[in-house]
Amino acid sequence: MTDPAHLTAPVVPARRPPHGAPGPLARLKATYFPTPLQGLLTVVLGALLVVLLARLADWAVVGAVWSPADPAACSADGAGACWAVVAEKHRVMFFGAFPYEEHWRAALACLLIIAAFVVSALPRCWSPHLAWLWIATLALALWLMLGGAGLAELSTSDWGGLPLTLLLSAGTVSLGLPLALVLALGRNSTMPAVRLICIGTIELFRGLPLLAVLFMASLILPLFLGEGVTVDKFVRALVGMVLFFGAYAAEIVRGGLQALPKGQYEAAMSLGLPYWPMMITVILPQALRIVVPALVNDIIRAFKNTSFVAVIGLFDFLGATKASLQDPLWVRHTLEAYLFIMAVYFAFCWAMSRYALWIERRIDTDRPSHAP
Amino acid sequence: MTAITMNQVNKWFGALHVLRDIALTVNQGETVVVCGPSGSGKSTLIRTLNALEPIDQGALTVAGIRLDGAEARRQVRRRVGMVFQSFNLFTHLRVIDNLTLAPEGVLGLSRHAAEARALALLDRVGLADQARKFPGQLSGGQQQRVAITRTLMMEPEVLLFDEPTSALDPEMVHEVLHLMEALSREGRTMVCVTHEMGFARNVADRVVFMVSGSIVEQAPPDRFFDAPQSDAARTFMAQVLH
Ligand SMILES: Nc1ncnc2c1ncn2[C@@H]1O[C@H](COP(=O)(O)OP(=O)(O)OP(=O)(O)O)[C@@H](O)[C@H]1O
Ligand SMILES: [Mg+2]
Repeated sequence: MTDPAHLTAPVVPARRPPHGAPGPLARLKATYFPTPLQGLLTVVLGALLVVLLARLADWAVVGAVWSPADPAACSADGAGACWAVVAEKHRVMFFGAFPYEEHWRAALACLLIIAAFVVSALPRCWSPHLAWLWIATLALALWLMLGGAGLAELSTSDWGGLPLTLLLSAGTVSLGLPLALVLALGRNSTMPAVRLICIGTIELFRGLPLLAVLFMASLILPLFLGEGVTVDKFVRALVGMVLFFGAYAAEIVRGGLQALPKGQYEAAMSLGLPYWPMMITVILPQALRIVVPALVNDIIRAFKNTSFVAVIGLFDFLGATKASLQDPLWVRHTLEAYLFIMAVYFAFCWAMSRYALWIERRIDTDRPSHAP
Repeated sequence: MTAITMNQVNKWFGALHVLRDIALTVNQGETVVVCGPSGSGKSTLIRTLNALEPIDQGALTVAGIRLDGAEARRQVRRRVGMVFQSFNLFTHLRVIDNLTLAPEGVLGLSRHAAEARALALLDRVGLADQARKFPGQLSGGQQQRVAITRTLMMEPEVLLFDEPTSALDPEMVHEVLHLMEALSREGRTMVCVTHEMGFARNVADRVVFMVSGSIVEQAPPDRFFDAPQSDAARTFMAQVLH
């Protein structure tokens, strides 16, 4: 039943606001030169910025050495940044000890994982079916990374560099999120034993530093599994990362469950939906939507945290770079190599945090207002 | 045939005795309006009827099922529909999916059959063109009519309403009351908590008046409004009718 026209038709026609929108020049002036003193500040800081940028450009671009043909060029007087080190070592930085001829497999695995993350980030793809996407992606990536069925066989000890970082991140998120759901639902369970186990797990792993969790995983896991059973280093690291991520994500999910109005549960129950169908079709889709930005934050953190696995002897992107710089020919130019991988880390994290901002706004505008 | 029997029902929230020796029978096809001052236990009473609130003492039979245990609760909930003050539509689902969710998941209807039923009902309540919208895109009155339709999808034997018009802007109240009246006229069993005294007078078969967790009076609307027996009812009516 729409309003009858005479209730919505304007009585007084709409007019423009009295002061027209300020032009770009006026806005610039208002921002940078509102008072003489602030104008002066703008000029001084601007000049400083120009000088610094010019110097940076001089070092990073103008005087930079790009070609790795002659390492001595980097040490010449007045030489700028030695990007040659990146050109020379990028394969080892990106792929660690992975056999050179098989690098394409690792690169393909990376692309697959990145693609799976991108697809999962699109709101229109959000559904339980994403689980299948991740199972398929991880299976393919593992096949590429381990070989067999036509590909030369490799072991996890050959893994290193960016593929290791991405595999760890993907494994952490795709196993950690289901764990988080279970822990969050379990924490609200009416069964005391279930609740106790879930609270215990969450509090234990939230109460420990990641380093301790990783050490614990590498020392305690073998204890539990009995002597003689050697647990793959990668698996140990993954178990530690999953538990750590899962404990934090569980609390985020629980926040989402609590943010949902009680009426949503009551409506579902009064329609006769049993617990699991209610959770899967009504509660979780809404609760998770609310916490996506917070979860993305945690995923960024998990991505960065992968560099901690160096302490149990895995060579992730950072670790592989460090190892590649042992070469005496290039050892003086580690700064450029680190700057480069910082840029790569930053690109990943920045993309994710921009995404978090975008999705937050989108969810806000999407979110249909709840009735009073 | 009785649709609902409440026998000596008692309930406490902690030390607060919210339902006191409630005895109430609702016959099939009857429309009962429950009214009373705020905090008198109306919502609690109606919520016990589909086991959203468990009772502590007494016996409760709804739609022929004695409400005790999880299985009975399940059976009762699929036979009883509830309409809430705040609509409680599933905001992430389109209107059509709000309607088909439970018939598919609980009654086992096929997607096709559920959609057909949904479209027929939406047409009946004048919302056929809104099927593909999200609840947030509808007015309050439209949302509440969708919520009522959602309960009708389950072909319930009993309909419960807890202040279905209290969250609505005044100009939308009548479209919801109109629908409720039509449902009452087609012989549905309804229990409505409402402050709409016009609805009570014109549509209800019986008015139940509660004070402090007790049923103080129950009578056909003519007698309740024209010759209330208790002082409490007279005071209450003076307040709601001005
Ligand atoms: N979950 C609860 N826990 C504790 N006390 C409650 C709970 N729900 C309701 N109460 C209390 O029980 C009493 C009856 O509440 P109820 O909601 O049934 O009243 P009502 O008649 O529906 O009132 P209103 O007209 O304001 O909706 C009130 O004092 C209320 O504060
Ligand atoms: Mg109430």
